[in-house]
Amino acid sequence: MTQLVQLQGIKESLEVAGYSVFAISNDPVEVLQDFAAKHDIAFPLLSDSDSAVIKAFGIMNQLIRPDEGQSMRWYGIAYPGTYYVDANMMVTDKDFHQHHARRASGSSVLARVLGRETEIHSDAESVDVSERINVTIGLSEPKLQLEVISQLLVDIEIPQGMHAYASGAPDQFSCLTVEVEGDGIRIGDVSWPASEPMNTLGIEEEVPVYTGRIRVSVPITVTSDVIRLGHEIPDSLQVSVVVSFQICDDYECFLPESIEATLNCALARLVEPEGLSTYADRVEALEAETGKPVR
Amino acid sequence: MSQTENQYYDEFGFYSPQELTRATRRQPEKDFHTGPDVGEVVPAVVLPDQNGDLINVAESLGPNGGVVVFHRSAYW
Repeated sequence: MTQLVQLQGIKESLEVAGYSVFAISNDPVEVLQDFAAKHDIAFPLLSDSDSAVIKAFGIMNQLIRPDEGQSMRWYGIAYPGTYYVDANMMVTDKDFHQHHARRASGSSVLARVLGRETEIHSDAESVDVSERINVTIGLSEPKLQLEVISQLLVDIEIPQGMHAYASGAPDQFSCLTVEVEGDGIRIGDVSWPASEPMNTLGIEEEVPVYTGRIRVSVPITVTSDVIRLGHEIPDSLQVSVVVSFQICDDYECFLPESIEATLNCALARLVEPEGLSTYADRVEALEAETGKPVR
Repeated sequence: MSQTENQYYDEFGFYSPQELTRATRRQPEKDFHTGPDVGEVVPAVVLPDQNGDLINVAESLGPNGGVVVFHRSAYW
């Protein structure tokens, strides 16, 4: 699956930083072997075929009855998630999702381990708009993938000596906002950096403002609407971003304005029915070979 | 929801030969277990990797630790 391929992509950076990476599922070894060979995975894909470790962690999906979905080894799957552990196996951070389809992207895992900001990926398309403020928009991954949570990054540069109003400023000012729209995408909560208090234009209280360069990040994922929309799954999606702002210097304020930009986001291959039938075929072949049920 | 013979896409667009009403295809409830919390030590993990070699995660961690990802299946 795409998450493992993304993890392979960050393996080296993790190792340079002194971290190793492991993936655990209830797949039989042979299925993992096939997958690793096909996608050049060089980190350990661990086979917890009887779900003993998944149970020891207490994260087995409890909604699945033993008799359900046997051909696809549904029983015994874990809730999908990531543990970040120190060298003594102590949890320092974790990230879990309810639905088995949802997962963190490679770059977000790397950013979390290294405690640094996610960057616009060098292979991702980005858009620059220079007007009264400069706005650069791009994605944390080269491609968007179904239910893999990437970050849409909006870098905003406010000219020196100027400020933009942040959320919490009095009503007479228009606050800086970022709106993201597009067909077939789902957006999470916009995450803003901390604002700074400023004494401005004869207002008694301090007003929250942004100055200089700030980065706003928006979790973004592709939904199955792109599949339902038609028969052909597109190669890319248009994401529209509107940055609205009002900037002022110490003496005067400009009128509120907005910058609109459209980002063309490449889409990775979304579903792999072939991969799943390979999986089912492999499970069946294994059973025939060994005479033992592996379901 | 698109559906042909023995082919079902769930609300996330994931393909499965199972019907959408089966428990495995439903969204779990609000409360679900996420295992050891921050500050706790995780259980031992000694499992075969894709080459069949037994890996003890505690002994294979980097000097600063590691990332342990639980996932549905390599093919999902």
